[in-house]
Amino acid sequence: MLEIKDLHVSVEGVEILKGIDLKVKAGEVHAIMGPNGSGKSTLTRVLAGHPSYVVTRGSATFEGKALFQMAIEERARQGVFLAFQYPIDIPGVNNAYFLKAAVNEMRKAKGLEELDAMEFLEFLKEKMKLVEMDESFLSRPVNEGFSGGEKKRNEILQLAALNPKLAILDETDSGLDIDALKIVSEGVNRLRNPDRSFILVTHYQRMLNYITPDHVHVLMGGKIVLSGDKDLAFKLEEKGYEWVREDQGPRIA
Amino acid sequence: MSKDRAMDPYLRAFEIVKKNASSQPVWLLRLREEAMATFTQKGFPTMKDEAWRYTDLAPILESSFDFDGAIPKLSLETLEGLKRNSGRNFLLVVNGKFSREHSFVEEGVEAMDLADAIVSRSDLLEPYLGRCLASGHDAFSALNTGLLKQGLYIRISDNLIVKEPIHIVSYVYAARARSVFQVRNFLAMGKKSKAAIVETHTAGSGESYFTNAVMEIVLEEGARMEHCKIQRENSDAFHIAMSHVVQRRESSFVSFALSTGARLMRNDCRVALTAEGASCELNGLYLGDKDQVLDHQTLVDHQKPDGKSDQFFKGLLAGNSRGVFHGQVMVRQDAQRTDAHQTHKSLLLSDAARVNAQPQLEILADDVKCSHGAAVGQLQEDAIFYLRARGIGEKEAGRMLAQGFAREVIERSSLGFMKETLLELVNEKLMQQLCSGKE
Repeated sequence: MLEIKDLHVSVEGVEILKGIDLKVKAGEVHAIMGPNGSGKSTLTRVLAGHPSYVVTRGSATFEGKALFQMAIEERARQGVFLAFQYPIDIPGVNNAYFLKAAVNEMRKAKGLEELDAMEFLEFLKEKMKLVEMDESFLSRPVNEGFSGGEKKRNEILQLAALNPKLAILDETDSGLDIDALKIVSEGVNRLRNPDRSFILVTHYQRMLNYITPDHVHVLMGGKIVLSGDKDLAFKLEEKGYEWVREDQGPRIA
Repeated sequence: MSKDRAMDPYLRAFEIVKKNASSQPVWLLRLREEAMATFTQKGFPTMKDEAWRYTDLAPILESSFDFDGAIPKLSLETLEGLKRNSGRNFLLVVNGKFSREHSFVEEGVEAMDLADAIVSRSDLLEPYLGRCLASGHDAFSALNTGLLKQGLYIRISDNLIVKEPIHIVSYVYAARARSVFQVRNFLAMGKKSKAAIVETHTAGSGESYFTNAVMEIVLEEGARMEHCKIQRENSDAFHIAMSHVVQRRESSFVSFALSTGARLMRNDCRVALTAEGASCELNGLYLGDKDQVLDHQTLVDHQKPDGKSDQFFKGLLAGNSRGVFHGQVMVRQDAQRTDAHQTHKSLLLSDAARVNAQPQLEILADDVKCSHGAAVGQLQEDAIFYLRARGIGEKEAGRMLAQGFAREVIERSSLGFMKETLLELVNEKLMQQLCSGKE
């Protein structure tokens, strides 16, 4: 599904990612862990196409197509979804209007007919149950005045509604209390299927108590320095990142 | 053309008005002469005048405008279009003249040609006409008073609750190129009456013309008025408008000015809270593109205690357009416990668009709550990215954000009944703006 080769990325002339290789197959859940400043968020944003991030070397293909050749919206329409670490407030645009516009863009890209207001509401109500959101969310402006937990649930609602092939979750667990974390994780688990892949970026292991990954990678100094299965996450939780640094010292620039 | 020569056609027009003045009340002639004296003395303003420093009147002064006397015949289709959304109250003004035959109002509302009212309601009009503002005439309103010929007179009697909004449509159609129209409306609301007015300025053809409009509004004790002014003149038009509002005890005035049209517009709204407990809410939204100049001026004059005023204006500017906002609040010594607020926010959709915002608070009382704020911004890159990351195209993302920005004024205002119409007009203009922004 996704294949990243020797990816180098700079922001304002500073190289953040220094050669990432990653292969994600359909249906797999990959967790990317690492200390602050290791380049985790950079990786998610460059995949989604944020204009501040410049690819200086390497490539990424999504279902065989060159990802970095596609405009931001084109990536989304092809099935790449990024759940933002800090979802953006959009004053004056209500959530239902925004979601309907987004869902219909996806449908157009697939050659499906657009949903009208009634059809959309019915469609969305189903999805809202998944993240236990009530209908009052729909008439509020996107993310404006939402609590941290509400914003993250709204991201997962969008994930459910847009039905992507690859979902990238950037620190979706941060700032969530334990109840919200359970709701969000449960939502993700129900959205897992053999055709959909996930990349979970997280600083802590705690979300992985609820969502079991197939692969765990450690990102440090702009490179993936260690990969393993779910047990690696437990080891990181127990011992911190310091032992990786010592163990892998020479590989970390 | 020199400033003085620009005045010549208007001075000549006044000579004609004077010749035909025999049938008019003496007070009116005196009023006209005073006004023309003011006009002659002040002359047209220039950018050296503090109140006009951001708006260049050269395009108006360099054109010679004709006084067009003809009233065109409207097709049934045009009439139906103009009446859209008007229920039982529709007042049509074509090329500056009240069209009695096409107008209708519900029972209890008195509406007639101002020229007739000057004769039949002379006693009522004399103390008010041309005298609604203590600060007197500026050059344009002086001109309007001096050359006053016809217009609209509306009176709502005491305690009358007008059921449906009164639509006043000022329509320019098939006029000779470079015509000037002096539009004059006078509106008096009796004690504890209530009415909503929707005033629309529009055109059915593309000639350049100049609308010089003055509206005077008197709200008696406890009267409540909602006023929506929609300015969508054609793109070669000049629109200079002055509204004077006089408010008595515990009256309330809520207004919304949507400005999308005209090559050059100046919209000046001056409200005097002349008695205790009066309140006003002034909202405005302007959307410009190409070389449009959209200039809003406000003055809220708190004269007595316990008054409230709230001004909220927003501008969206694309292309080479320019916005001007000058909002004044005056709190006189007597006006204790005044609660006055003002906000202006603008969004620049292109690098060439500009805005000049200037709040001006003058507070002479000591127990008051006053605030003002102004902000200028551009579309947020992060917000565009967020929308695009959900599959929404770049242009549509920009449109959504701009619409969201505009929507806040509409949602916030108390003019709920106009919400859908305003949103529709905003969307229509936004599409044009975003196209012109890409040029």
